Amino acid sequence: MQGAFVSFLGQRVSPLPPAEREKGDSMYEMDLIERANSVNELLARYGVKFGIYKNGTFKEQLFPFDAIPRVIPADEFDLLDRGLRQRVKALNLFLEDIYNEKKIVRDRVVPEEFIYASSGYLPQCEGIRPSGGVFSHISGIDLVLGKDGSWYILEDNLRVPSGASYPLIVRDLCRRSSPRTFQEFHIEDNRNYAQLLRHTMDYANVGGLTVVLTPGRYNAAYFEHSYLAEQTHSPLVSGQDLVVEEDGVYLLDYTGKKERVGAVYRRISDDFLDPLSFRPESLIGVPGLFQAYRKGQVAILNAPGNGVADDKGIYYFVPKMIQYYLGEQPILSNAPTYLPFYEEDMKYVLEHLDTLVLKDVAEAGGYGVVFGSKMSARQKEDFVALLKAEPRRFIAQEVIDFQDLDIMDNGVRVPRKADLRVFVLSAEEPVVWKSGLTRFSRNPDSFIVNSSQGGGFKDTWVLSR
Amino acid sequence: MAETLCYAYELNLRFSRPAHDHSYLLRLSPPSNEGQQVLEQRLELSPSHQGAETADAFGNRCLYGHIVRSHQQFQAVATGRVRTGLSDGVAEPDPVRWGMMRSPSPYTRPGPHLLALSRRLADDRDRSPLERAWALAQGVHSELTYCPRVTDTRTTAEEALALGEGVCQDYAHILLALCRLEGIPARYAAGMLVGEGASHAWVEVLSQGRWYGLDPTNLLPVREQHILLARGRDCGDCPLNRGSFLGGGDQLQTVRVSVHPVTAP
Repeated sequence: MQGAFVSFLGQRVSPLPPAEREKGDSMYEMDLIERANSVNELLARYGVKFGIYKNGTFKEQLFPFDAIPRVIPADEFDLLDRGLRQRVKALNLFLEDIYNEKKIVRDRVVPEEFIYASSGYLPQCEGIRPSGGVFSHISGIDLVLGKDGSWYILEDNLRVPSGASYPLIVRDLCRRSSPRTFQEFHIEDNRNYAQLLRHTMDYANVGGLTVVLTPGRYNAAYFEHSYLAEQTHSPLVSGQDLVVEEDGVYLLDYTGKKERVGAVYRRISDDFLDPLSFRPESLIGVPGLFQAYRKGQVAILNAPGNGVADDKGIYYFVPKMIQYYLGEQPILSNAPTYLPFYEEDMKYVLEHLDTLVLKDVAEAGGYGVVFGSKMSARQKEDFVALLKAEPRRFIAQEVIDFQDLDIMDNGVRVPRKADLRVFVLSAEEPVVWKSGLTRFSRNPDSFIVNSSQGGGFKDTWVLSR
Repeated sequence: MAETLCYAYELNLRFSRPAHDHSYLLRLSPPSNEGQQVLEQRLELSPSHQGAETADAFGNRCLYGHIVRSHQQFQAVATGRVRTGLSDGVAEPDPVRWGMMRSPSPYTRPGPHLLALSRRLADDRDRSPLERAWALAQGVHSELTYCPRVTDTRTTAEEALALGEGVCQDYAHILLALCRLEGIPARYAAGMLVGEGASHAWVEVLSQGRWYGLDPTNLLPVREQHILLARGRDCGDCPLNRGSFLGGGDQLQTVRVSVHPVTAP
């Protein structure tokens, strides 16, 4: 088994303790790869799917699993753990501040324009302090590992971040198909997600049932809604199962019996949550839910209005928030970002267009992202005109040269771009789940890693020592 | 110049087939503030229903509820007496709190027509935000022809300006967009005007620490003839009535408003 260490899963480190290395990592690797097909078959059978909208039609597709895991050494994850707890703490303080005192605006740390012009800002949430003081209960923070060996924050997802169920179910399947792998290696058990989520729900709950509110089976993450409801022993409900009365929210069962609801883990976007307060044409929401929430009669996870803190324009200010609210230096770095809103940055962006990636702050899911190097002269001209007309609408970032991860592509091992979504659950204090969703792009030329654009995923092994 | 007005706002919603599970949210209770004082008010629903009271993020008084039983008609009648024109503007102790009133909102996002009008009305003489807002209101008034049923509750400022026609809501949205383009904090106000007809809408601007009401449709300062019901960034933040129900078939909604001065005894 010579050279086994070098080849192990294409990673920099072997998860095996030195003494065990001679046994060879390759054995386990081969074991997992050989079983990948059967794992994918099981995923299909369990309905682990991902829905995407393409050209206006909804398509449900399998979310392909790649057996070669991403391995993160214990000390490296420890840094992520501290950095992400710090970040999520600051983001929660920012949300509470923006919808109440607005100290960060008064102190001119964040310009007003970036808050109120953001489509994620909901004036309806002014004056709200949710139970327990938490706005972002479940945060999904996307990171990439640079070739320089350091992690960079790519974006924060504080609205309805999805994806935790995929590493959960796939770990379970791998454990069953290759139990020895998980006996031999010291991999953090990730089965505690349901407990963490349950605790987060209970912490926010103001008294009554916790329900998982889904828009229904045509949602991209429906599999996840049902899976998490089952794992946390919470009823999975749709809008019509809930009714709002003067004193609060109730779940109606099929016999007409009513039961008080104290927390709603909603998997519906803000716009559709309540037709009386948001989009009036919404048929999937719960009329009156928002007023009940304003009055403190029910908790909503995540809080409505969180979009103001995970906007691509606000991203630039997160390191400043950490300093402002916590008086600490940020432990994790943002990708180097420029705001054309500032004259100085605009100048830099115009001079370095070719080396930058430009993002429309209003778009999500990998849409509205363009690489300066890939624009034609004509496109550049048009873009510069647009940028000058609407400087607030774009951010520019240096293209991070991030480390590729190997995937198996028709039996051949090939490198692909990959990112990592880490989940942070906030109750009394934020807790980082020692797992995560590693997504990769199947297109070798693509830098955009997003499940909405049809990539695959890997298990993420956090080593316990 | 204070005056006492009595008002009646009557909302009628008729269904061609019975509706049930009808949720409603009404902003039909005028607030008392420095400029107007509510002397008496009632809000009655049919089918008779005891709603829950609340205040929204803008401090508007709301009544909301859920009527389970089926009905073919929903009616809300708000009546009362309000003392109006009590002050010239309303003091604002904390302008930072209203920062959102300087940013574009869903109905007031500028497009080419608004940007062009804004450039045309540009004037660099130093004036107070209120004086500037009046100049803009005159611009809006001469730009638009009052014409009902051309626009609806979904029409944005940009769309109405492109049409060149609209109702009070469109006048207000266009003026809001123009004020905000110049950095003047401006909010949408919904309420009632002396006379018979529909509900009314106007604009409030923050100038030198006070909010002043301007009615761009009638080029009138908002004083004793207006009763304020609700405010927001635009009409989407503070609709006077919102409903959601199951069944119902076709629906026909009518609103009748009448406001009259009470003759002094």
